[in-house]
Amino acid sequence: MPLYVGESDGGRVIKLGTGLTQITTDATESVLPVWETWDFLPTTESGDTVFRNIIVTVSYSNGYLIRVTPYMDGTALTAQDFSGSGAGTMDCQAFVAARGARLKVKVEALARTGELEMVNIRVGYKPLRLAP
Amino acid sequence: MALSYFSFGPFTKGVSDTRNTSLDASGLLRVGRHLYFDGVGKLRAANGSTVSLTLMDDAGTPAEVTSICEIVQWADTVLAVAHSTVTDKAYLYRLDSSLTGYYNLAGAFTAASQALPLATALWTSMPDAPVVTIAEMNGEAHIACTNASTASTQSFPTRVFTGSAISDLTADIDGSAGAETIYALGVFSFQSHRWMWGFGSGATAATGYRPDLLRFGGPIGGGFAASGSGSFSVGHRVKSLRESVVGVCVAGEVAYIGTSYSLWPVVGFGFDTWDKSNPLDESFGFIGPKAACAANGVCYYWSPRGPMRVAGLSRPEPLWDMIPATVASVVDPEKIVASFDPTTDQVVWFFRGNGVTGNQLVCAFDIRRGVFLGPDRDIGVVVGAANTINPITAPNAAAATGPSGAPTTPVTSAVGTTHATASWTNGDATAATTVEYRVQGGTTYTTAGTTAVGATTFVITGLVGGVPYEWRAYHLKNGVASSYVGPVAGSQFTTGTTLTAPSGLSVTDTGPSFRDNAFLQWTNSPETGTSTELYVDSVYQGVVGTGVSSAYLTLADGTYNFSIRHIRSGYTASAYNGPVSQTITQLS
Repeated sequence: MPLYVGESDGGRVIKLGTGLTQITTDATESVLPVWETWDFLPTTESGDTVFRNIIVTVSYSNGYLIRVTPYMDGTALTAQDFSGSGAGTMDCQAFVAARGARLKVKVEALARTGELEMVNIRVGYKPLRLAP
Repeated sequence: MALSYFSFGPFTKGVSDTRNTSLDASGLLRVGRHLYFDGVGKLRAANGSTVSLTLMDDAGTPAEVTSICEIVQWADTVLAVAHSTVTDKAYLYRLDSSLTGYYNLAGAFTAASQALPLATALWTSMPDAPVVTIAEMNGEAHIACTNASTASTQSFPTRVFTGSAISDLTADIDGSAGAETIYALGVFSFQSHRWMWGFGSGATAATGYRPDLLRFGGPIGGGFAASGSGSFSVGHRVKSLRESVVGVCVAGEVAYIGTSYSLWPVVGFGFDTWDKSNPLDESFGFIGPKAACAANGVCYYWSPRGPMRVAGLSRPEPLWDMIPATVASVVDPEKIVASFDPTTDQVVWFFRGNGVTGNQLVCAFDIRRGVFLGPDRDIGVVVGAANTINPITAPNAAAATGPSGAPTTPVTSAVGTTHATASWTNGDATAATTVEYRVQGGTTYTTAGTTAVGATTFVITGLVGGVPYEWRAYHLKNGVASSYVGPVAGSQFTTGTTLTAPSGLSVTDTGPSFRDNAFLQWTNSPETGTSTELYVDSVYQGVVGTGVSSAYLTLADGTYNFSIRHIRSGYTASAYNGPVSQTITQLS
């Protein structure tokens, strides 16, 4: 029972929910999912925490290529890419090793070669100081 | 002290684009794009889209129309209405239920990727694309558009398609014993009766301009009654634009009549009992004629305040609290198009947002889990109409269509110690491919995995070094498998004992920081179970574990050569990736 859409700026009837690329105005593009968490504040807004690492667990049917970007107190840290082949589940461990009050994580798929499932995102941390 | 761990997921609460930061963040995403839920809390990447058909105009050399206005199921086929600003005509198309071709007025089917309209145009001299509704009744389709009439003109009559002819809809709606041409602004079917709303600017009270008026015909497609006995108006202000009917959505036992500020439910058990009753409290009305859809007896609609849902005669429930930023970003909300996607359990509203010129953003609400997913994902095209189309499957249908051929020409490449790349030529590009492998001469195959549709390569992983393997593959489509290709010489290989090296090493000087200042990133080879050794000026610095593809090092000021290699117990270490030279600055 697929969903079909008709273009408002053209004459194409398009079937949604099929393949790894989607139709655009003039070509196709990969369907690249994005996951972004809310901020995690273990020691409240003005406390201090060392965030050590982020573990992104993905399941995939035919390889994966993802980018993990930590945001410390709203500022993006260095993005780290992870890739794998075949089918399976992988814990991708991105290092943060930075100190601040709050951390959020953005995960982007950079390419699609098969099914991709976001299993979980975890962060390892050590609280240093609660807010005064 | 050991590290503490916080789990953001598993993500079961969907997406919210605003929240009190003191609330628990676990299970809730701030942004999610191209996602859907599957099974019990499995958050998957959504699939894409493909072109099924292109609708063409009726010019001597047919050209693509400029806008699609409606697409609905009708009988065992599909009806679509499209408009061309080149010909200033609106056309009707009859397509098969799998959208593989089109019918002509005589009922002859042509399989084609470009569909031609039925011979007679719906409306001519129409410069702007109309907003169209289609209602099925008694084997006929009634087709109306919102620019049919105004207070001073009546331009585009309601049309009737019988399956073999297109004509104007006529009925004696003023009791004059003579039929008048109908200029309805919209049509729908409800409880085996045909309904229409809004009327043209005829000379009598019955045919005068009444955008607030609903008129229903007799049961099973019977004729429309004269004014008064087969009609009622919504609202309290006759001929008021504010109380004009904006759109209608039939969900369960109720027809929800949406004006610009309220919903008027119509319930009853037929002609004699229908009553417009009172408007639903805090319903806020429909924002546009296509802003509502029904799913499982519930009406989901976009009101002037944002998305809502209502069932039966209960109080409508706001859904906008989770996505106020998305609601505030909507441009031209009256052009929102709603539809239900049963394959993902999502009601989707196609809208135009900040910086986007057309309805190509999607606000998706998972109705089974009651959560939003992807309130602003971009689907790449501007949407004018949307609908679920069920392909026709006969009760005693023949076996499902399998692959049209098997894969051929197997080739094995990039053989490492624990991996190899299998590739082939597709025998059916619309099928997926499953790859199996075994030790040469063995009796049991292991399934390596199944590719996406159309893929021609698969990386087999989890192998053991120094062992001869062979693989075979088959296409899979609609649950039907093709014959195998392999094992043949091209699908046989022996894994090595020297690990494949990592690649793409880059080193960044992260500058003064509280701890680390050299950041290394690389791409792991497909080898499984490998760790990665880090070297600086050929001096061993440490090792990072399986799957890790980045690391920090703390170094004194200076310029260094960095290199890495894969290792694994029982295997020969890979070659080095590097050296990569980088100047490092330490905390001063």
